Amino acid sequence: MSTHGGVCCGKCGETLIAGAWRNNPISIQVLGVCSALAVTSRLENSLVMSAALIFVTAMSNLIVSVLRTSIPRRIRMIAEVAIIATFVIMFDQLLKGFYFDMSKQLGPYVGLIITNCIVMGRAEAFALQNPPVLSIVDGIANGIGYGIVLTAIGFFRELFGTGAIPMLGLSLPAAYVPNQMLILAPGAFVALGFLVALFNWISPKEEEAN
Amino acid sequence: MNDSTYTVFFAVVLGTVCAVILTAVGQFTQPFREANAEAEIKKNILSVLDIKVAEGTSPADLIKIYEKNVKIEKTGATEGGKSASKNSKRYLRMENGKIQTAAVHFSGPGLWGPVYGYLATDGSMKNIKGITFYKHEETPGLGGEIDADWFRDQFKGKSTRRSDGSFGITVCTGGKKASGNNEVDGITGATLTSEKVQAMLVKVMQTFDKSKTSSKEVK
Repeated sequence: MSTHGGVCCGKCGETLIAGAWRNNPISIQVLGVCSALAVTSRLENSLVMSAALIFVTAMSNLIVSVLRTSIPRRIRMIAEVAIIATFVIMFDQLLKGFYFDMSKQLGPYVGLIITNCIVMGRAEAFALQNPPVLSIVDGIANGIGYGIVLTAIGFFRELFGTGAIPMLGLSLPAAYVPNQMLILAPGAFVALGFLVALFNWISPKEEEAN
Repeated sequence: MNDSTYTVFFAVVLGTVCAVILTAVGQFTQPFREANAEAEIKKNILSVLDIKVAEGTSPADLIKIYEKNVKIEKTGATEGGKSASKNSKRYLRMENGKIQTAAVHFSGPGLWGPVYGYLATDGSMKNIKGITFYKHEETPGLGGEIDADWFRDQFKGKSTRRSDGSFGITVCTGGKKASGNNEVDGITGATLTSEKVQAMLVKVMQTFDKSKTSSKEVK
């Protein structure tokens, strides 16, 4: 699936698909699972968390990429964390100022994006070797990949765990007894397990070379 | 510039730039964050006093509505023998010069962490008029249901006294259905949270009952 000669740098489409789907950070790389389990009891939380991750990964990838030739190798990880932390705290503060209810719901998990392996992983594995525009695309793509999984888990857990999603005006028939386990942490594992299985069924991983 | 000097130089510059950006963002959002935090407290008091506030009211408007409608009374409430200075206030909703609803703050241990809320009664603490929980760490979907409407609405109109005349309310657990005007249904799967909520409500009622005689001033 190569799309050489695109408008930006020839690799944008490929990078986007790799991050969002083929090399999905959660279902394929199994990164960032902690927050995928913690904040997905409601769909709305999943969406805001995904937005936060898209913003943080894109921006930190951009800055790391711009600085990639000037960051001293010995302190490159510390520098990456400083950059990531700056954007995460920025997002957290804005949430506290302008979207207070959501900030209450997400609690410490916004701040914990600093330690999310996806953000750091992309900075290390991609932004340090690639030009800025492509790095932004990669950040957005991985954020979207994370978002797809979170949204799917949030949808599944809220719908079957509480019997309705008020945000979408969706509700199951009254005869359905909400499965409270889905709202709890074990339910998140179950939902994630099903989802990873589904993803692998739709697009099977390449046979590992022996 | 040799390698080490450059590393230190880079770290200092990066650290400074990050700090400056964060300070700027912090300064910019500070008034909004503070207004939100204050409005949140007032919103809870308004809600438990059953003073309607439209969805999406700005923090500034909310504070205005609060100041117009809520009077604060200092009582001599004590907690464990000590003056409960912080939690000794009653928040009053007046009507024709009489107390229509009075709210008090309560807190206590939940299953995972402290639970905070407000309890509203009529002026003489005979009947409960409302209850809110504004901060807790109970399990979402189980103990976390304490802040759901179905749980809180049950308290409205219940008596604050048991049949023996003592203050208290029973949150039924273990499959028992609430009956009588002094019982509410507990939460299935959250027996411990239900019991702890009952304990903190009994405590706050007793605290304010003792203080009723030494009510001081209405501001």
